[in-house]
Amino acid sequence: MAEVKRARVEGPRGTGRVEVAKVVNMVKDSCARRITTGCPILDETLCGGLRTNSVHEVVGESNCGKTQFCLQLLLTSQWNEEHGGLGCKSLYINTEGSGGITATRLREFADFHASKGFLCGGGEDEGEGLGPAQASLMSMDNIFIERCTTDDPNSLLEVLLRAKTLLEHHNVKLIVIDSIANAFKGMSSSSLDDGGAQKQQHESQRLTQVLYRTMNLLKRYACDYNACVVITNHVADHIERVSVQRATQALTETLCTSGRIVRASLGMGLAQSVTCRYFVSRLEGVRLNENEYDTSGCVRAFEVVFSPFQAKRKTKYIINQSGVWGIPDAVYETGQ
Amino acid sequence: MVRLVEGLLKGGGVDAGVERLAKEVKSLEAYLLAECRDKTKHAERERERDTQTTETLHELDRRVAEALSRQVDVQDGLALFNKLQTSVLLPTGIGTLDALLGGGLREGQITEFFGASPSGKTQVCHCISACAAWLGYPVVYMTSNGSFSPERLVKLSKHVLVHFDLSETEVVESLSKILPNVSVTQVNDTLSLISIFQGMIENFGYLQKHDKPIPKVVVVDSPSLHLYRDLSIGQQNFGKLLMTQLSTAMSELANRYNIAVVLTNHEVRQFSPLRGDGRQAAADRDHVDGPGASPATDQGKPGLGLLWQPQVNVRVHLKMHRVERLDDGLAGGPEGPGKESNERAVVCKATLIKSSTGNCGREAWMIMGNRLIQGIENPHNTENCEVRDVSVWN
Amino acid sequence: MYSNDSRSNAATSTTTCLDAHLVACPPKLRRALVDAGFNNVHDVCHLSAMDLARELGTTPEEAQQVIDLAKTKAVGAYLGNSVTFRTALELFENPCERIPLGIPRLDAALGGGISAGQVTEICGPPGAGKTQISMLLSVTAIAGGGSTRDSAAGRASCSDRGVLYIDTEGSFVPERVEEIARGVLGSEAATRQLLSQIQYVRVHSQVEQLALVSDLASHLERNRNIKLVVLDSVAFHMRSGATSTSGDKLDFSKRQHSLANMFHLLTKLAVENKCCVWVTNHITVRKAEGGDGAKVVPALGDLWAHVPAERFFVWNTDDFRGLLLHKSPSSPQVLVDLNRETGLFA
Repeated sequence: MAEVKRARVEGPRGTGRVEVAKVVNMVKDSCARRITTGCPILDETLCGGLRTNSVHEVVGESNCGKTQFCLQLLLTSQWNEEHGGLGCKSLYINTEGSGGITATRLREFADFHASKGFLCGGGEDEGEGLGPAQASLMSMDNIFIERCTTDDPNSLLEVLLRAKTLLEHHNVKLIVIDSIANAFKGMSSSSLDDGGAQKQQHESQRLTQVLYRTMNLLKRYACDYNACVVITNHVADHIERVSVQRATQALTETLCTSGRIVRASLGMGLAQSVTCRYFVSRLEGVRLNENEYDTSGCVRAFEVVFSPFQAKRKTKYIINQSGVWGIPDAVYETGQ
Repeated sequence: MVRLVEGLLKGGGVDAGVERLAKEVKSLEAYLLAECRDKTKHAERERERDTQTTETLHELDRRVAEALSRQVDVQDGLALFNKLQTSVLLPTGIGTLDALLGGGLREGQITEFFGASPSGKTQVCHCISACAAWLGYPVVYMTSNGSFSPERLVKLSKHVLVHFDLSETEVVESLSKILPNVSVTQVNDTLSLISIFQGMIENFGYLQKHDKPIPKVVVVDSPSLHLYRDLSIGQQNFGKLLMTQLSTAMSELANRYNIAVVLTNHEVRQFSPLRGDGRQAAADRDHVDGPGASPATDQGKPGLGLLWQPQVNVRVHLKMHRVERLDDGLAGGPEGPGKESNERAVVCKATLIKSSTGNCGREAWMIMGNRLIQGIENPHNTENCEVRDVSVWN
Repeated sequence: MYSNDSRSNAATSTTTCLDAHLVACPPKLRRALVDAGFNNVHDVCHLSAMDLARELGTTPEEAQQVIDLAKTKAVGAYLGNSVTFRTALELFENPCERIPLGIPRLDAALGGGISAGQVTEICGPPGAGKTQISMLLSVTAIAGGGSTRDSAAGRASCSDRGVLYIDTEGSFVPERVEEIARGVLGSEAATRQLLSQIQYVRVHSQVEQLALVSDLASHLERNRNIKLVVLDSVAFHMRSGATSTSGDKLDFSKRQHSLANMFHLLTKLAVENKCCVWVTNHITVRKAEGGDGAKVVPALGDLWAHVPAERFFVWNTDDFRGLLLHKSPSSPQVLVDLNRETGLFA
């Protein structure tokens, strides 16, 4: 509602005053910046990191490292600019209710980052002289964590509306929502059985509206505060005999994980409102043969599905104690 | 028209004819007559109170006859029948469509083509214009979304002319006759559309008096876009008023100057909120509308609702069926997997939904290609290869 | 429904002789006008409010209302009557301006590119390349199409056309436009010149979008070199703004009204300023009635589907990126393989 009011005040009908920006100036000012992922190989896949002023979606089945990827971003965004970060704070919205594990894992990452000397206390000068332990602890101060585990997607919208002050006054430039699918889980369940009652159909339409509004708000933040928004999303099995899915599939690329064909949750409504989509998947039958990488975990793939500014690329990566790391093509070979 | 003749022949004089008209012919012209009669009846009652004489009744009969002769030019049934015989049928340029319409577009009638987007409505309009212009009739073409394409008109004109067995040089000569005959304008809202129609009604009388040619065909592609905007404005009555105004103006123009008016309309789906009940309701509606109103095979309905439906004399539903390579022959070629050939054509089906003369529910097939539109035989196995829209290209 | 019919039939009888522009009066005044024998705006215009009130038997205020209406409409009526008809010959000999897409086979089929004076739409699934093609179009509109690949020739002859890019989704990337422009032009100075001719507006809500589009006419009046308006995308805010204030029931009639207005303003813009309006649209999958199949249709409903005179479909599968000219008044369907025809997605 606030948006509507603002538009009325600023742009009354018929004034004929259209505020335009010249693209040449936009290029010159290069308003959009990049957040490094902390790994040069992943950065290369992403053409230099995650672009601000856009909404990024990471899709993948569970246990693919979506959350790990996000946690790492929470820390790399704190790096100062010469290292590729923004020196900013970040907001992490958790809808999945796994907060305990998250915090421990985050400390683990932070300790590693601090030991490498990347963390220096949110870009403030006093951080310079800190030891790794203190820096790691202080980095936690730069991460706002919000739990939002109710079923009602409106509560997510409310959290985001409140977050405005964070963006305005606390130098927050990264918003992570992990995961959007969980916040809107009512939508996929009701859209599945198409013979449902009218009430259910209404409910699903209402949720779609809330989804659109949430995404619009995120885009607005991304644009107004030059922030970067990362959301994660689940996948669902592609069912060939459902005609709607078949028709969609005929026009889009196949996504494959653990040998199954899948599709992203929340349908086209979400896909149409994100700027770029990345797909993470588990590869079967791929083994590492070198010792410098931790071979306990399986090999995963990170793929750019679509993006207005990145070429379609794909890379393999692993997750270990210290974070998410891309691996060069040369080091793995396909095993049995 | 047939009904009109019957009514006048069988019934007891003019009065009964009017009665029948008011009951049966659902056109605006009939409403006008009914209104005229209402007024006279009103006057009749007043005068009866005053004088109680029977003379006024004769007077009234005379006035009704006068009104009738002014409005629909009634001589007697035979004359009307002769007129029907001699009236020009305007060919559409598409053989099968002509056959479907009983020879072509009938003068003085409003013909509507409706269908989803894209279904070839604009193409049919172009073809009709080309054909009428070649026959020497001026054509008025109004478009609401800028979809008139002179290049396409030239291509189709060439096709039409070749169809009439003209040589190359004659074709070029004829083209210079065809193009000036088509007047095109862009209409930006319903009000200006109505005022154009009203202007035409005024001006054509003048032209006719001075023996200047008046258009035989007026094409509007499409009034529904603008009308829909007025209807959705909230004050529903305003939209409906404009709609009735427009249809009055159209039918007056068509009737007074014997002009064939061609419209396009969009298609709406039948809304069924609950699957089972919705279908039942749709079936019920079909029953009310009559068996010919909506064949069970086509789900689409013309847009603009029930109020608009009776304003049109002839209604044809268009549907795009499939895309095929032209190289494979006109009929029955298999769908090509998206490869080299540029030359592709669309097979369309036209279904007669409403007509006073034709057999409703009949179908005609035509093919639209880069340089041509023409009728084709019913291609076999059409039921199996419904166009899956873009998916067909993969 | 039927009661409505009868009411409107009554309305028909009262308005058959009334000037189209007086129909906008309130019903009571409308009837009074007909009864008093006024059926033309010009009859009313020259009267004073008092005279008219006496004639109609209404209050002077109401009479003034009619006169005001008649006066504003009378101007419109004259304009309306002076509608210029042009013959097809004129139109054929003075073809409207074409903006090349930079995809040679499509441009050839379209007779040089998308034409001014109409709305052209591109739709497709997310990530298929709608925005990429829109950005390419913004560049080729200025660079003047032709052979986009021979950058070595150094054709620094940019036209002075301008482009207005309206971004509703935030997917416009200036760096990418610069990249495309450099690919087309080659030289650095020409690229900068080209970029300075592209204007950009970001829109955040449905209301802003409508307000902006209604203000565009005067903006284009002042910037006459703008020949291409890109609206990327028309659907996003329209689809997100369909909730009524109560938030419970969906108000589709409101959306339909906004859409109808959108259509009206956009076509008017295209026609009156002789520019191209290029909009992108989402797609939606619709189940076939009763049957098992489903088909892909452009979003925003059946009515909007008729608005664009030309429509493209773009999609991307594992091994094929297709651009299909889906609907056009002047050309049959044409399919091109974008991966082969352009270097846009390499």
